[in-house]
Amino acid sequence: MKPGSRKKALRYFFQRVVDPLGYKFTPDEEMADFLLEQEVILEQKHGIPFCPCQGLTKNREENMKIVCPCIPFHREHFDAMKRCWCGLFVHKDVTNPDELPQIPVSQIMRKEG
Amino acid sequence: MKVFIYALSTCPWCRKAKQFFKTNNIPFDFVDYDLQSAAEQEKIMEKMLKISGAGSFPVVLIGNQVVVGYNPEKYSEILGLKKGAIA
Amino acid sequence: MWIEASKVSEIAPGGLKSVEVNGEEIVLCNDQGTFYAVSRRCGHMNAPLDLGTLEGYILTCPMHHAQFDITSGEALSGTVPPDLGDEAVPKGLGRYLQYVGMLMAQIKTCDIKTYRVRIDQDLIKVEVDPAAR
Repeated sequence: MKPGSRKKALRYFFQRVVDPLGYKFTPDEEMADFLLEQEVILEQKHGIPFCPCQGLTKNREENMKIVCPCIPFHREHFDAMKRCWCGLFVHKDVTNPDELPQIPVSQIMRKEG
Repeated sequence: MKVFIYALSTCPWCRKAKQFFKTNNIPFDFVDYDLQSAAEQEKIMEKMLKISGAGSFPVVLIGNQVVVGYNPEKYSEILGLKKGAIA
Repeated sequence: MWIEASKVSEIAPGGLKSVEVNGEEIVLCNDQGTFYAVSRRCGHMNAPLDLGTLEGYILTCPMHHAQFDITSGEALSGTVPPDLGDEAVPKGLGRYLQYVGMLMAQIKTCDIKTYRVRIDQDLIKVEVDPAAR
């Protein structure tokens, strides 16, 4: 496997999933590349590309909720931040991803009442 | 104030959090969750869920305050650092 | 030499079809209108790739889910460990699975062979080497 081929394949798969959800890859190319690189490593270790910024547990069902792209399992949270937790994906209208901070889910769900 | 970071070796925001404290010369302790044994991970996750409610990283403890996510402004605020602390 | 393998009208976009040409088992793939031909045998354990899934240019093997780039034959991933669940397994079966698992850990996923494709009106032609038989 050539380096970069797996990242390209992941980009191909993910693009098809996140587009109808209203997201795109972050315009921060360096961050996207770094995160994809971590996902390739996680995929080689576990067979599945997990989110590089969330913790795996023994509970397989819980782990499935952080398989990239994990947007559908965290829709409200991510929509409120206009980005996913690790920042690989952002809302389609985002031009400057540096302006999007990470907001804990507890803060957002509280507002929802 | 004692600083402790729950981190993942694969997470760039955790790296930035560690870098923030390094750059501002604030000593801190940390654990890379994913590099621990399964038994250790169970203990750590239990703790994290209690204090942060989720399995998202980084979780930064400053004194008795908890900051979930990379938030240099919040870190500075809690530490009482002057505005414009290096992020 | 160029041999007729199938007809364009027989394989819809996203489709896979297994054909035998010159004694070689080949899978024809339709990626959004462009045709490719690869070996039918997975580069891992020879499973039939035509029974797998095609997404764009990525072909996934049905047996252990290794993935291949149909434009180059490059293996894009290793295999995915199956989820066998939590239930206890009968001892004999358990011993067998452990043994096979040990052997499989030594098996690499190799790139697969590709074949040149030419479209002649409704005919899909594939280039094979007569000496390869």
